[in-house]
Amino acid sequence: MAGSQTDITEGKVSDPLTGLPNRLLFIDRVGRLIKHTKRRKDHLFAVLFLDLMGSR
Amino acid sequence: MINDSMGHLIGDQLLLGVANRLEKCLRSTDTVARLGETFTVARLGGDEFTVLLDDIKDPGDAKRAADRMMKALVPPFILGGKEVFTSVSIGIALSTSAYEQPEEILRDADTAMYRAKSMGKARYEVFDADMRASVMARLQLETDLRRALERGEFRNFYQPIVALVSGEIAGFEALLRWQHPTRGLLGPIEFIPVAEETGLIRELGWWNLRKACQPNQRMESKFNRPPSSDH
Repeated sequence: MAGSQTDITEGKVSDPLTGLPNRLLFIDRVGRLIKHTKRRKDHLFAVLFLDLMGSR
Repeated sequence: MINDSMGHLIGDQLLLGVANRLEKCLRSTDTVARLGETFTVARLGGDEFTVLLDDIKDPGDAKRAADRMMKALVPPFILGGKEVFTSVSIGIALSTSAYEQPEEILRDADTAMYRAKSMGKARYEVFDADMRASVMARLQLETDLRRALERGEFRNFYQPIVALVSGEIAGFEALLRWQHPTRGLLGPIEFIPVAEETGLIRELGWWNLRKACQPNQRMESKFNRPPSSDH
């Protein structure tokens, strides 16, 4: 899913361990969607926050 | 922190495994549930991941995604020759026109996650009006508490401690109450937890102690009794 960013370079926007987008890129994408939703009132998106717990 | 509890090597492998499963389960199309057109799985750092589900048709889509992710993390990971179990608490915030900044919706999802976590592991909660109200109430309480210290709205109530053997007053307990301008007299359960979390407890504690020493001194000289205990 990463790779659609245009103005920010890859190294700064991905988490070094998992290669997933990091906070910076995530916030950027959410920000764009918020703007988009202002124009299109029927547009719905969701943000899910996950907190992991491990045990063994 | 997963890395603290199981060592960095295993912890990192677990985080990698989790990242893979999350992406995979959201991408899979073998379920009836239709997910958003596009999604982003991100790692904020530590044990925190976020998911952005774009273009969903109703809140049910987000709940189904949460269900799917929780199920995907149920089977143990085999790391370092051992089974490693993990579970996840999920908070969901849905877009509304009230959001102006991305941090706001992230904060609400975080609040919902904390609610889910407090209700037991491996579950999700959707941020709702009740949570918004409790967030607002909490912020208001913080503001009021700061102001209360400046305005001197706290009161000490003194309760005598009587020695059973002699029947004499051995001291006094100083019980802290807050004379709130609109909510009336509040007991410690209403404000001590927030005072502790915000660090205001230090100032409040000193106030309580200093205040208790004044009547204590008066009563001591009047009744010729030893100093009180302070609570």
